Amino acid sequence: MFEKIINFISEKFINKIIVLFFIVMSGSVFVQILFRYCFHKPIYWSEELPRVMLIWLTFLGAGVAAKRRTHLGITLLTSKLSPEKQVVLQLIANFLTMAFLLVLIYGGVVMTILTMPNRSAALQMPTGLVYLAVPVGGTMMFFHLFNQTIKLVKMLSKQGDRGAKI
Amino acid sequence: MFILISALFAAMFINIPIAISIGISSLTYVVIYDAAPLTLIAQRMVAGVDSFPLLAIPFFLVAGTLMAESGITPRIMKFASSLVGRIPGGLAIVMIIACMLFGAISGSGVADVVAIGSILLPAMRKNGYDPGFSASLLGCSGALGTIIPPSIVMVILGVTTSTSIGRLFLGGILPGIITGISLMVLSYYFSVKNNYAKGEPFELKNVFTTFKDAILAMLTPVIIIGGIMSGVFTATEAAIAAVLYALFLGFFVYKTLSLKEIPGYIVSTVETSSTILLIISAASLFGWVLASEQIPQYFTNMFLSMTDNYYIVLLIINLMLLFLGIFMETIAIIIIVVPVLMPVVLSLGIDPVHFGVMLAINLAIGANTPPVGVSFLAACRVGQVAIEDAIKPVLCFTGAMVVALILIVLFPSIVLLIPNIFMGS
Repeated sequence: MFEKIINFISEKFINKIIVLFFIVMSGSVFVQILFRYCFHKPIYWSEELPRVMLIWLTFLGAGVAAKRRTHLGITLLTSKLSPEKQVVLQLIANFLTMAFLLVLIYGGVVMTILTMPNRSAALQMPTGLVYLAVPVGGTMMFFHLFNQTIKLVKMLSKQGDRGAKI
Repeated sequence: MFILISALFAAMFINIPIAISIGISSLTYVVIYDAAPLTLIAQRMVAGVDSFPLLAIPFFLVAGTLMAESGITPRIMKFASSLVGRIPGGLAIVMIIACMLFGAISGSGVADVVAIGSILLPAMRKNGYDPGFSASLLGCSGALGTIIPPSIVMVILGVTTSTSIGRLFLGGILPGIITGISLMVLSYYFSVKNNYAKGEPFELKNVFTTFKDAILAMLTPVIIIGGIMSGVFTATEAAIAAVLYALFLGFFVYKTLSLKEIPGYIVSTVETSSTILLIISAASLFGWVLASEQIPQYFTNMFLSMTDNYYIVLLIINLMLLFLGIFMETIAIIIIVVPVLMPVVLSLGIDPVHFGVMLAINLAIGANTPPVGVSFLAACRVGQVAIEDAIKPVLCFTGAMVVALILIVLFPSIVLLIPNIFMGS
């Protein structure tokens, strides 16, 4: 159930935002080149907008990578262990990661609230909207990881049952 | 400092993602020493990716994906094959040239390995090449993609060291060609020795038709490098030009892309770039901790108290990087080690562009050393070769790359010639 909700949000919602933001990001860089060379008139928002989009995409994309488990890591040591030990170590790694994400999300929420009254230089947009990317992306990462952790625990307890029967 | 480093390595070795490991170790430091409010984490991580040059990373990645999906890889390979197929070990040399050309389009080493390898490795196996030989050559030539512009590694280097990305790109051209040639010489030698089959005969007509087929795709590096050389584009703008050009080719010339597929490409590109960008983002936090502990200054003093001989320092730095490259990921090394090394480099008057290109080659070698070299592992996976069978040949090929590295370390002008001509010194 939990998994379904998370996947629904990330596929129907987050992925659409990613595509939209990416197009806006590339479009505004393109428009910037166009205006500079064709109309000899630089536009004021064309550097700030893609930067904000990049920040959002970094944290939203991190959620997708957490879902697909493609974040870069070092498997040199863990791959040499027995499967059960690998699962236990993976659980520890997941808990530590989730703990860090909680701090990150907390910091992101505080920064969002604190900077909401500030306006950005070029777009006059509330700066809080930039920091909002952190809790949104962080929460998605947290939920995907939480979902994977539940699966690991279930797997481990199943193995435990089998061990008890024998 | 001890806490910071040990937390970092402990976290990385239990396979916590590198970005999170960097974050956790910095957080541990901040909490233990009560150095800053916890909001620092979010604040620094946002500041770390708030950068216009970094936009080049997703743009180059998406351009590479679009190019590969629109089927330019076989065209480039047919062209290379019509040129050098006749030479003994022709297919091996085709592989190196194809990797260099595709590296000049895609900007990422592993993308090279997958795109070229999935087509060429089966052909090489059919022609009697030793699979371990082919896979290890693929890994090494694929890693050339990080030296030949455009290169995502160079973008990251430029951003972390505040060096001009354009100069780094141009500086990579000659060293990339030299490294490529050294791989070619070695694979020619092996092919003659093992009597590997020759490919298709050389025919001028054939060269011409395949060239016509591949020329439009090969214009991509001309647009990127030419745009940067002439000062028309910054690296980021060149990247967006490459994206538009790839769209143009895919939709109107080769007609192989479909609009329905584009969102999928975008999401997976954003995912890939985000795995890189999140590390850069966390590194900004790590950098804050390093700076507040004055670690770079401490390290520089320690280093310079041992020796201030230009060549010895370069030797030590290179050996250190080669060693780290054996078990650490390329981007992680740049992010963690370079900020500490940079003051040493600058205080000795080593040109940052020379240093950056040297580092890129060094890390390309690291990406091919067993057991964790990403390029090497990807090549073994694509070729379905057991790692043990590829270890001996890969050591020969990385040996050739080390020779190229030594040349480039000793003669900075190999790196600096092109950027100095086109962008002034």
